[in-house]
Amino acid sequence: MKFYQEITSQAIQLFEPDPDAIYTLEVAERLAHVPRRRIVVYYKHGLVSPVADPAYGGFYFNDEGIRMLRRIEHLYSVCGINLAGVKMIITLMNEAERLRTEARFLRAR
Amino acid sequence: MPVEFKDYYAILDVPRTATDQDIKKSFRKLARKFHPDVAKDKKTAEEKFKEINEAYEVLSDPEKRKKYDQYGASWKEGGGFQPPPGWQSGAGRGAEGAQTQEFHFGGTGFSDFFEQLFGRSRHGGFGFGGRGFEADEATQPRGPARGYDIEGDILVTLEEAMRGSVRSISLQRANPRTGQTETLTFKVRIPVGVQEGQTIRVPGKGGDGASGGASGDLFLHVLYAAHPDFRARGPDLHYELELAPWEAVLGTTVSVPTLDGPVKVRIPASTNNGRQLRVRGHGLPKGRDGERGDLYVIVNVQLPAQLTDEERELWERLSRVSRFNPRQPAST
Repeated sequence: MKFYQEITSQAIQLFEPDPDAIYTLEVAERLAHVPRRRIVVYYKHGLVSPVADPAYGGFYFNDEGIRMLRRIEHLYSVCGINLAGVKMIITLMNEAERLRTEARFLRAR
Repeated sequence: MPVEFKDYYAILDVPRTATDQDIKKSFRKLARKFHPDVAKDKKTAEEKFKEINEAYEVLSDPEKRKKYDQYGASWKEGGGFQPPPGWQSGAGRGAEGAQTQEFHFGGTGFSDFFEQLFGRSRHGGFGFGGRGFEADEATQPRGPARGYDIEGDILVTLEEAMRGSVRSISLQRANPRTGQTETLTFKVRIPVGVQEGQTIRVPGKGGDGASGGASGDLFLHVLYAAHPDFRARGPDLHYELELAPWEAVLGTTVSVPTLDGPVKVRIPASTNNGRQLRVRGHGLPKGRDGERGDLYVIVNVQLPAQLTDEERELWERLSRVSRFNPRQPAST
């Protein structure tokens, strides 16, 4: 048993990200380090979309959602941009991302 | 830290004046040769394949190529690579007094050189040293400050997206307290069916938190590596099939490569150039439940460059006999 532990302590860590993992509002609050009240505010402004519709009792986020929450949080509280501005920036960034992917696809012809 | 310069032109074996077509051709040739599924010596071939892909990623994009030509050429004079002005401008923003953070990636399929020259602006905008301590204190007066997040791109081959794989990632960063560089090495499993644009979150591998706060996370942004045969669009794959004019007119059956081996595709008679034929279920996995995208075969009719006398005679005969006129479709 001890031998086994020694090996694992030296072995390189392996992360197995679970793409299907979803987090509750409480876990999302802890992971994204955003107070849950603010998450709800972001949701009301249409900035984050939980995987399940809150109208049916679910307020769950996946890893994309966590990343989005952090982006918003960064723009909102570190860069000091108001929510309307954050919304515009996020929309533009998504658009740029989409166009970049499209350009890459078309260029490969 | 000077970053080792990589001559992308030498890697792709093209002159600096090469056209986009030349680059593409050379990439396809080399990528086929060094494709990890084909080559005998898997280990070196894989390295080479990633290198080729990185070079192609830069040289196939006119904007990146311009940037590379501009800054990448100065490496000879300076000895080490001189970072272009402003390449690190994003780092350390968000809080005055926060240390400038430097990260060097390994194992993502992009070299440090690539990461530094083409590192996305969001590295600066989001978390790349942006979550400084001062800023956090201002917004959250009490409680420990969370570490910042690090974002990076990872090149994933289509085969890896199909079957999943384990990648070894190394992350070099300066310890803010001691100023020494430390290297973190860990493995990340690429999940089956990962899609372009998805992010893989590696918890706790971002910057360290302050006063007992949790560490930030590492976000790896998935980019599909260019494949010599296929182009990916979401879960669908596009394959360009080159046909002779008579094959397109008369119809034929051809063998088309897929990720699971060749399949036979029937080309119907009078298939027009650019027509898309769908081979259901031969694309990339849509998730882990086994559902898959489609393979689109796009017809690309090629004309013979040189004609023998006999061929010329036959074409001339055809032009006399045929009443087909594409410019006047209604009146015959």
